[in-house]
Amino acid sequence: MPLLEVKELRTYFYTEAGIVRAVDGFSFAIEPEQTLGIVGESGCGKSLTALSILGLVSRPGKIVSGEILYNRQGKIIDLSKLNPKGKQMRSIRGNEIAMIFQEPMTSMDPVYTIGDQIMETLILHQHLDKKQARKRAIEMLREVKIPLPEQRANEYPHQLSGGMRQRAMIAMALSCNPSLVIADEPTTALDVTIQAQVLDLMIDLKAEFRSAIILITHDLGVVAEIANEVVVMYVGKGVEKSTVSNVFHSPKHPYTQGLMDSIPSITAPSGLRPIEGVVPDALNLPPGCRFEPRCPRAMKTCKTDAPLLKEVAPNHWVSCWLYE
Amino acid sequence: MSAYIVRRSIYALLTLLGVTIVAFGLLNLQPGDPAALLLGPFATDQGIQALRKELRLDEPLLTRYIAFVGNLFRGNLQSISFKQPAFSLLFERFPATVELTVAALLIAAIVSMSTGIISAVKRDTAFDYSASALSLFGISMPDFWLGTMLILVFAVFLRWFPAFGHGPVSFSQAVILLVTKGDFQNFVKFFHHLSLPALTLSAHVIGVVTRVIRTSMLEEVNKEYVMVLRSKGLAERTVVIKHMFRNSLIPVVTIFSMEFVKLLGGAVIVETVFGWPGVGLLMVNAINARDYPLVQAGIVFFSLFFVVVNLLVDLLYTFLDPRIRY
Repeated sequence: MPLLEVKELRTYFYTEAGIVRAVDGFSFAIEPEQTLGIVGESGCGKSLTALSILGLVSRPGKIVSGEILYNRQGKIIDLSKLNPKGKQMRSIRGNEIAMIFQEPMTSMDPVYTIGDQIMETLILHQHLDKKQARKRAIEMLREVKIPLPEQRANEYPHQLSGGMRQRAMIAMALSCNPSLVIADEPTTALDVTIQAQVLDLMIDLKAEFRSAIILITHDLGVVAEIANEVVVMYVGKGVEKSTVSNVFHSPKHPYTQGLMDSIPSITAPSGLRPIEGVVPDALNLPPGCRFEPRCPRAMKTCKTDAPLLKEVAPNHWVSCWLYE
Repeated sequence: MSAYIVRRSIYALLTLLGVTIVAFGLLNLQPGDPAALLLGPFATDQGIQALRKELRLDEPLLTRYIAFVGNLFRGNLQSISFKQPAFSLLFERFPATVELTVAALLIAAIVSMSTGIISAVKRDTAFDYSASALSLFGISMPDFWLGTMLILVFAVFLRWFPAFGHGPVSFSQAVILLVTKGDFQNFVKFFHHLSLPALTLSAHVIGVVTRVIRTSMLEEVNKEYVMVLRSKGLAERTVVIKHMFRNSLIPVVTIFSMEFVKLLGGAVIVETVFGWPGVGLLMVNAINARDYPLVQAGIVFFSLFFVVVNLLVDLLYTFLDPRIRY
């Protein structure tokens, strides 16, 4: 039974220029303790999917339809139907489903100490008193391998480096032992060497805390390292869904194939092969397959009809007319 | 930090020295002979000469300046029109001004904080638009008009409040009476008299501070940490007040402290309209009477306040924002 199942999620933005269908019928599921990578270019709707799950989509954005089914110890709750500011949603947010954000430099309140900010979550959800919360916060900082955690807890965000802050963010997200962690580009803003350290840390912690992880990234390398399953997203829709090895070794969708070809490689003689063209205008999407204008293998049907996600091989789902 | 305080204190002294030069110089640059003015249109030349000598107006500028600074530091500056030490006159009037200022600022703090915060959170709603309109109204309305209107409506027509004056006791006396003798009447009477002038004075501050809070809060609304706080499951109220408002406080404190010092210097117009016996009224009278020593003492006295409050506010910044270090 999946821990979280997103079904046909549609989150639109109602702007003055028109309706932007940023997430438009996106589905996936994640099992407990698994790691799912959501891959796509910036602007394809992956971050918005994360915010939709947590009920944090703000005006003029809105969840229009779909279900976000969360398995709360055997009881299925549709998160998209909860009042986003209500008690139930807030008791899940940060407690059972936690999120790690992209930008460690701006993700923390600059006027409170690192310790205070971790304690705030603990006091809120675990009903600890200040002393216990502090002890636990320091423990968490030690877990994420921050040196001198007692001292660091008393420091302010600006006194920590980017890598240290991201570790502190991870400590904060894991502090209530969530069943699901959504990590939105957790390493993108970091230096390459720090990226590797933070990634290693996440792999360690994943084994220890046994949280399921939804890893949102455009970095295929990160996905290969940490995820079990992958969903490839293109302009608000899932185009391919399978295990990491399937997607990496036998990508089916032309977009996924293009992504794989555009990974720089030292051994490949021909250099990079980018995907031609640009992402379509969000207000003026193609009527058929959204990838059709850029697709090297586009056919007549692709122009008029949108393909559906179909299982073309065991546990390998693709939405493309090539496999009909 | 302590090195900073020492350095700032030295600057403060230099500032005050500059103030004495300006206070002394400006009044001496002003046309008109104070001796002639004091004695009126029927004064004789001899009389004027005698008074000039008495006031030491016939001595060279530098000698007079040195004498002025000497008297200032010894607290010896004599008011010409009251024939009393200038500082004791100021101290006598100061409590009434403080009462009015503190009351006006308290009203302003409560109103502008709630309005400013709600305006920012509910921006572009009917509430926000009406709050903006009211702030503009508060800023642009002259004190003398608002004060007069309040007197007309609440004192003359409705007879809810007295139109004029301070009432028999000061705030501290009223509190002492209340605690020692259980005298509630004087306590009520005090606030009864305070209400209209304080309200008049607060209108402008409310307008200014509400706008500053709104703008400053709006700067926080789209910051990423706000989304992070929400993702932690915090209630919106906590996110707004504990975090966003706290982060937006620096400009608010700056403006608020400036308004505070400005009002301490005497709400000249409001004190005049309501016959409030504060320093503002004293200064107006002193200027009209060409009572130079009293005016000069006033200028130095309030400059001292300004400098001290500014220093305190700068120190307060380090508590409000840990990124600020001196």
